[in-house]
Amino acid sequence: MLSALLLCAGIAGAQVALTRLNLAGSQVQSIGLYGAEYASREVLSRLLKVEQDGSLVRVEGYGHTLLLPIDEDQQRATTAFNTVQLDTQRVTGRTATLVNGNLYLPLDTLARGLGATYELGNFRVTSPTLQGVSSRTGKDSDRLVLDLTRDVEFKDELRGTTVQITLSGLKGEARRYTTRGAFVPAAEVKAQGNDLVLSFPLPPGSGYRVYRVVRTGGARVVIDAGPGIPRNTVALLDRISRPLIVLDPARVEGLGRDVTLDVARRAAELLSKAGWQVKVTRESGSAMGLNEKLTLVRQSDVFLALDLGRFPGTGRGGVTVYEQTGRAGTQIVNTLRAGTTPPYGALVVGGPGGSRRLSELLRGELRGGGVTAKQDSVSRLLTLGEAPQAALLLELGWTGNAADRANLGTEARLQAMGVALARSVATYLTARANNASQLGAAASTPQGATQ
Amino acid sequence: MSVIKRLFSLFNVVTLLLLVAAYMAYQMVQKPPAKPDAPKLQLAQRRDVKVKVYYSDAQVQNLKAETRTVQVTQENPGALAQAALNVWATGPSASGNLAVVPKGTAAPKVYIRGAHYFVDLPSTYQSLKYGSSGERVLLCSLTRTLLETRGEDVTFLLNGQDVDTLGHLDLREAFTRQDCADQ
Repeated sequence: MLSALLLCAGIAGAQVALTRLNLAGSQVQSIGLYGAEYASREVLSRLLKVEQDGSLVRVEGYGHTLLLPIDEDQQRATTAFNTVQLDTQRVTGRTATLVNGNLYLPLDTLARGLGATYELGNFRVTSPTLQGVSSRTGKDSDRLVLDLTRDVEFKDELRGTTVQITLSGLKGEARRYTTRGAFVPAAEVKAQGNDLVLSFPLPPGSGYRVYRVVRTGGARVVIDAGPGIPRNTVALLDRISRPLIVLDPARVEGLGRDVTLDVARRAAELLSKAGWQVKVTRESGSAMGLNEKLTLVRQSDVFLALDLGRFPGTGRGGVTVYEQTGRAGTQIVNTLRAGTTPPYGALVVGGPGGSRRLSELLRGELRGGGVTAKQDSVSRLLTLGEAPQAALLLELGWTGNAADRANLGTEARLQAMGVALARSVATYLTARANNASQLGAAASTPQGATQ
Repeated sequence: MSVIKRLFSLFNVVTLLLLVAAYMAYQMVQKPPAKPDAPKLQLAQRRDVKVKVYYSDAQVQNLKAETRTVQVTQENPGALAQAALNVWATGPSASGNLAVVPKGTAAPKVYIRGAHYFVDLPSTYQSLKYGSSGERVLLCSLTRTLLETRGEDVTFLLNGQDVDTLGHLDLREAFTRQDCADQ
């Protein structure tokens, strides 16, 4: 009652009139002050971030920042002789003032600075819409430009090998855009609830950055991606984008031909050509030491040991894919496998399911290449026990079996096994990267610029 | 009369007795000791004991148990374990099972400390060059043979030394029954 009386007294003494305002679709109260329309800080806070800092008001919204000095002389504040800062420009216009100790801001100055439409009693903000996506190709990076009717908040994150940019409250047509770029050949726009999500695959070894450019009458979200952009993601995520494949061919003497190395080389060549990072633990004349090999095994995302079965007196033959069972040789692996997996924990230590999936894929690919492979389990193999992710032993055949020896002497057989190995590993790692998208979503850890 | 009396005085008699005693004592100590009789050789009783010994199946996939009779003089765990490994090294008797080491290969030595077995593999085992699956069968057949009746685990040494691996297999920790469970 007292405040109403005070307001009335203030209004009577200061040429103030109470009016109704349509503020971005909602009816609120405003005041007319010496012929200019003002809205209180409380009312505007529904739409904008308004902060008072001494004798200055800072208004942030729709990608714009406005600085308005507070002039306690109400009449002078409503004149156009005040200097206000709209983003980076200092212009003359009406400024903020105090009415009965409450902060009021001029709607025409706000509309000018925020790119909104204003007429007496009506303050309209353009609805955020995606007007188009354009691209530009570069030497070492490609650029995607999203034209928006006004600025919106966005969040970018790398999920597996896919960059996802979620633009809050944006409307637009869901469609796929293709570019002529070598690094970002396509991007997809999808609606997700009230938001719009733009996603594109990030090539291995590439980085990306997202930033906004706010202009009068609209805003742009610019995305640069490619090897020319430095990677700023945590090293752990490299396990998804740049997984390490380690092939460990055992040295088997007395067969004439180094078949394990032959198959490993064929698979490594195919995988390297496809952009995967592959390391083979030995060459024909040299081999890594045990410690060096184990260091590599511990860093691996896929570890494949290649061996030939040897045992006196057996007539056993055929290809066998072994999965390791039992405890791992590393404490962290056992601890993480036994406990609750933290977010991104699967990137540190994969469960036994990874080896099982890879084994199934490998046997499937071998079958496709005309090689029937059995599935078996093995325990206490040093290298397989040290591998934190998917690890298998592939027995290419048995040296004591005449049919196996004959098979391993043919180019077609070795090529079929090399191709099956490469294809199964590539399929497994691609699927793992896609699964990591859900993993990232669960963890919900945005990276890079978010505002 | 007085001469005789003087001759057999108390002093002379005692002295004479002492001389006789000394002579007899001298004779006694100079006498060579009697030869002891050689102990009679008694052959220890060797008893037949049945033990379970594991070999490889024909496919080098699973372990096959054979019940074999070994002869031991003492029925303690150490003697039984060593006897079992000795018969393990000689190979299987049942057809269809495969010997894990070539004929004539020395059997490993086994020692027991509480519930833990320590098996010292001769250096020739390093040059057997089996594949990964074969090496597992080699070590698991020994492990299963030893842990059949008692014990917790088996630690493998190579030529008396601690080693990390035998071929592709991890020897850094002791082998347990779980490590060698049927596939």
